[in-house]
Amino acid sequence: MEAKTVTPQDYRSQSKKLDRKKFWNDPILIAMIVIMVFFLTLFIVYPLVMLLSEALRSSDGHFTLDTIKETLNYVTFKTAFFNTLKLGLIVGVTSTVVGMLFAYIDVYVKTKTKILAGLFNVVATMPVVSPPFVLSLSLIMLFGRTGFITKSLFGLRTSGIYGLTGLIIVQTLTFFPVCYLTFKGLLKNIDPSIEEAARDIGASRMKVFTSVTLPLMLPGIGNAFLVTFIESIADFANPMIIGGNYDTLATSIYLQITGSLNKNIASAMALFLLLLTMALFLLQKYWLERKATATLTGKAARGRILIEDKGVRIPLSILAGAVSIFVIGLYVLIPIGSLFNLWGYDYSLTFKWYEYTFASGGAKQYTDSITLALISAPITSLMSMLIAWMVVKKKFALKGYIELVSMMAMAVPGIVLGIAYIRGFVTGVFHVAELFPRGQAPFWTLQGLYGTGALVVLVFIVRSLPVGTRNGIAALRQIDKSIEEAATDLGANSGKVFTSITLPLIKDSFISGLITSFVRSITAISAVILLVNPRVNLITYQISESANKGYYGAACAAATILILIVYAAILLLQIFTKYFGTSRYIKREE
Amino acid sequence: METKKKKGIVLDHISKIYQDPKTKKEFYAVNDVSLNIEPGEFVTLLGPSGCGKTTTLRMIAGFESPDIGEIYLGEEKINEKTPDKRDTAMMFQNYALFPHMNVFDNVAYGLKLRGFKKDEIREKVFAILDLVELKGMENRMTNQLSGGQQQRVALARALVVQPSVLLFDEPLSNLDANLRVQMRTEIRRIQQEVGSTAVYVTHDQSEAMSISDKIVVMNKGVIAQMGTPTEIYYRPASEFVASFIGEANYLRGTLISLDGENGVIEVLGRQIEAFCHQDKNPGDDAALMLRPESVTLGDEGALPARVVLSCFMGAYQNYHVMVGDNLIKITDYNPKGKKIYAVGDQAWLRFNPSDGTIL
Amino acid sequence: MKKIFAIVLAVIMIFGAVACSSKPAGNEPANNAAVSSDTPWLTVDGKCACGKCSVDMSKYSPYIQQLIYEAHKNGETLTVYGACDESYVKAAGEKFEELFQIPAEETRYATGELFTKTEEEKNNPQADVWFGGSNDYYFKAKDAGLLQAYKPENEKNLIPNPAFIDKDYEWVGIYTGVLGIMFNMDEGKELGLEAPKTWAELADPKWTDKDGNKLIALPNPETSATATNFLATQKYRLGYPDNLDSAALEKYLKDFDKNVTQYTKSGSGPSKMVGPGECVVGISFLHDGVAQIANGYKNIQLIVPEDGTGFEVGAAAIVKNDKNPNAAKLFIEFCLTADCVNMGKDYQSMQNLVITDEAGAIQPELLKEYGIDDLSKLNLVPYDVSDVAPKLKEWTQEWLSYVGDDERHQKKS
Repeated sequence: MEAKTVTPQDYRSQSKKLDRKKFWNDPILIAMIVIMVFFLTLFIVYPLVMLLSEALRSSDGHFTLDTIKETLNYVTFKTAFFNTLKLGLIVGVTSTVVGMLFAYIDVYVKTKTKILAGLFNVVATMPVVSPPFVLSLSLIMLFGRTGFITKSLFGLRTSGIYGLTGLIIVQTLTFFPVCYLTFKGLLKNIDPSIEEAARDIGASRMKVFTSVTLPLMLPGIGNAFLVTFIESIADFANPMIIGGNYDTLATSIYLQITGSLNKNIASAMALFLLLLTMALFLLQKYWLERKATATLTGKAARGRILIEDKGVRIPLSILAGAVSIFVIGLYVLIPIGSLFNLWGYDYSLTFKWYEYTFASGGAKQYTDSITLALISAPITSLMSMLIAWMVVKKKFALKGYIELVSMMAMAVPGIVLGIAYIRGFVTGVFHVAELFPRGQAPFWTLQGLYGTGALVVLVFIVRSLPVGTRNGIAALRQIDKSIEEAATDLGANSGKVFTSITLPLIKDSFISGLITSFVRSITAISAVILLVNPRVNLITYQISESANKGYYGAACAAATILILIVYAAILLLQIFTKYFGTSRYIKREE
Repeated sequence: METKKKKGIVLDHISKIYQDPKTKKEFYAVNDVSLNIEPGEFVTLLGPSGCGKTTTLRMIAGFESPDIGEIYLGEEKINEKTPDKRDTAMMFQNYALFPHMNVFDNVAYGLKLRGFKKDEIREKVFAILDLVELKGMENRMTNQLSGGQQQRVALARALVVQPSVLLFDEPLSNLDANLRVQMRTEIRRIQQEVGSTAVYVTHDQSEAMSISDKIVVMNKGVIAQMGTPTEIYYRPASEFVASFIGEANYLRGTLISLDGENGVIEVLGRQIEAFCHQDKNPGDDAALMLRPESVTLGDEGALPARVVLSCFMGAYQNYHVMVGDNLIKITDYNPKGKKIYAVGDQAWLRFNPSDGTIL
Repeated sequence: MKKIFAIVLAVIMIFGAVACSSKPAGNEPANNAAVSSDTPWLTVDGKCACGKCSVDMSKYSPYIQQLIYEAHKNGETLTVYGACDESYVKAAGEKFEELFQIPAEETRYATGELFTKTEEEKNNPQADVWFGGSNDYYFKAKDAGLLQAYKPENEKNLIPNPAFIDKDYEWVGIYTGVLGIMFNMDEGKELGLEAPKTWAELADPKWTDKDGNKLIALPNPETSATATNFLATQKYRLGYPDNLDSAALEKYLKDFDKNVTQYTKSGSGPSKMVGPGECVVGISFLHDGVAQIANGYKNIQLIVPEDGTGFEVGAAAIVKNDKNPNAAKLFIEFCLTADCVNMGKDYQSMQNLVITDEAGAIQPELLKEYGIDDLSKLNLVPYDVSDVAPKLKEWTQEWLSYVGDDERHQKKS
């Protein structure tokens, strides 16, 4: 049969038109896109633009590069910039390596006792469920100038733990669980037969790992590295507590704002920090993503044969065991530290710090923190999975925008976001509420948001969204598109596919997102320092205050209570989600 | 199992254009394909990989949109419908089972979407599981099943919703040969039982032959031939079709005359009358296509042949002979008691001209 | 899908609820009690004419009575942004609420945060008043037009000193703190060092031990008002404003810097480092040291340098364009009474009070113990905040040029 004499260019328009029509026939997807674009624009892009534009504006409102030039020549900035880069790179690598070690042992190695395997899990999830800065606290209590080990045991007067060393240790231990969870998900999804095939044709275990497993995981590794890198860059609490002389951009920005009251320079610094992280993100997206592989197909793979080889098992176990014991030690120290009168000076037992924490802030700060985190966690997790799904599985014009913006918040230090929120909403969107008589601004100006817990919830969501989205994207990439096509073909619309197929398939990611965002929210400090209002009290604020005052006991006491709350919440959550998305047993009656 | 109103499918001059990601050149993945599939018919799209058969199937399902042409399901134009609104059910090459659900929930999925009551769902799922012989497997998770069982779950999942159209995307390619034979028979049996129209994509010609009412051979995005398995086999429209389906021998010569479907071809000075498609003119170069089993050797016959290979295969004797410059392969069934020619022997090619087709 | 919609709906409802929840309507004046004709804010039997409260009006002057009545009549509440110890901020708010029956809410911020937050909220002020924190920032806030001038009736309770109240009445002093030296006696004994008596002494190389460990901690002038106070103090000590010996100042700052182990981010940082021995000499306001001693660090010795020292004034002010003017004024009046300032010592705020003894102020016992309760007996430099505050940035740059960027970054934290 002869082809009709049409040129392809003439006719591509029909499929485009049809794809468009199909798109418009999918109201649920459209609704999701509209909501996401609206949300991301209003609550991320808009406030940041409001704030960052300050770096490019002179005091009388004209465009100028003077602030940028001034900042670039500012020694404080230059030092902080390179410090930040160095720290991020090192922590990115160390966290990835440690995370990989734990994931590999978890998925591949038959550990002799279940206790050891359980221990790894606890250790790996511990940093996920506790406030990010508690490790700084216990590290100082152990190795600081008056540290239990350095001073009381060895009589050393050293401040070595303050600075880069301490930051690397603390950030690695804080961030590697994210890598671990990512890798665990990826490794589980690798069809064992691929590796067995390589082993079968004579590759050593090491060779299989480097030539098969590692390349398959490359996108995941890139992802984890990136997440850690950016987390490290944006971390505020740890550099503040244990950073000592090592200034990072995040702390410098805070000090410029609250110490030197130099908001222009701070805006410029924030702009550079944002550019840095955006560059990293784009690098990852356009370079690494091309190598992405889909390995989870609807064809079920068999279980993996675990490694029992002593030459592999014992060294790996010892290594991970050492890390585990160290981390556990650090966490155990928190409740212990809360029981002593004055750490490093007077080791007499007391409950006074528990009394103190309730006396100074009361129970309200706990209930406020819990309530707000409880509201934000499910919204965040669901939103991040939705965004991940839209980004990975759907095609539409604003996809790149949604992905980029949802990731952007990660690159913004909390303190910058906090100020951006104040500036963006204190008198409504674009300050329109100023046009109305005081107290009479209509709803749509959103001035009513300001000063309420809702704004804090929004900050929590925005701050946790990137982590969840990244994990969701990584998890979804592993799912063959035919699984969702099958559901669509059987009559499921976009929403139904998402809830009945996609979400259950990335359940691990979803739950980890839920936990992460709950913890991130309940432990957030920098973003909400300036947003806290008399109406909203947050417990973390008290912890950092106590740590700043040198009341390590009080900080430990409050952190202990916080960790208990988080653990309780996670336990409840796991009970709730246990049956979510899995099949029930069917009894057949004959 | 009760049947519902069957619907046919019409593809009206369908084309799909893709862009080569490397060269950025656009090309036709599917080029002006028109098809009329009757209600209840089992049609196979057959062709080598890259011939456009899967793209065609995915356009019917709605995953891809045609660049040119219109698709009808029954009377209805469905170009603008999203896949979930089309009354089709597809079986994927990799089965695409939902890994987080057990067998029961996998199969029940489509029924739940259609709002059936719990009891009805149970009843239908159990019935279909019986049909695909997966009784008692309903609580297994999909990774606890063998390849064949997974394949049958996928089949059951597509069948249970009784779609107007069943779509199969090389569903058997991951199975071993024995299972493949067994399953294709079952697919055919169940499709007939359910009564849905079926479009089946494969590159395996024996699968296509055994299962189809009608075969559509595709090549480079174009329909090369459409017809019943017998037509395709014995009256191929082109050398491509002849070679793709089974084995083909060609005796090359010149077309002398053409009267309706009766052509006369001259091969090595002999004029042979045989079926000929009407796309040729006298004087054209042509070839008489003969299937290996349609040809035998004898001491006398139409054309002289020299034996270059002679091999006993049990069920048949396998010869390769040279007729002029033409290599002819012969499968002579049931060789016991027949004269066996040895390599180097001179013999005569014997065949019934009506078994051949002039191409 | 339903779930998603439900969540979206819930979010919208949260926003909606937030937007709709306006302030409770003001209490209408009650008509059930006869109002006194001379003093319409009082009922004939001397109660508040709002008719709904049980404030003992007889304790207050007619002016204060009017403030109370107006605040009640308008249904005013009070939002306090505080910068002193969190517990003190909270206690002050609660005391205010108890005394005047005006609902009060309070949050504590670091001084810099307090300033930044208020500045950002300039066009939609959330706070009515500031409470506590160094008047350096009050001065900056005044400059930025964030504060509302108010001449309080209770100005009479202040110890007469131009430093204790803004000349334009944009802020009032509530306490003062003396800059000084904190010395770890245990460590000193171990190292064979006597407690320093003067600022000048701290430039001596003996404050670097034989292993090269530097022993002094100072806040970072770039981020802390305590540190700029230190810089200003050194200027005054060396002859500012009339005959400043610049060469001596440069030499002093350079030599001093050689003994500094850490420039802390927070002003009270050094006070916390002394007790646990993280440094041997810490420079902060002495009331921070007192708080540490009260905490249990009995090894801290407080020293008011004999060669003259600076001080800060902790202040309170009304935020410009605040929504509850009467309550805010009332709060400022309250800040200038013993009711308020005497609470400080119970809440980790061991500052010297700037309210007279006649007005009932009781200086914290601990200050007496360390001999720093009576400001008149201390050698204070003639610190003039209105003169100094605009120059602090310049002085910080000057200091930076002395100690050098590179080295500073080795130490700064």
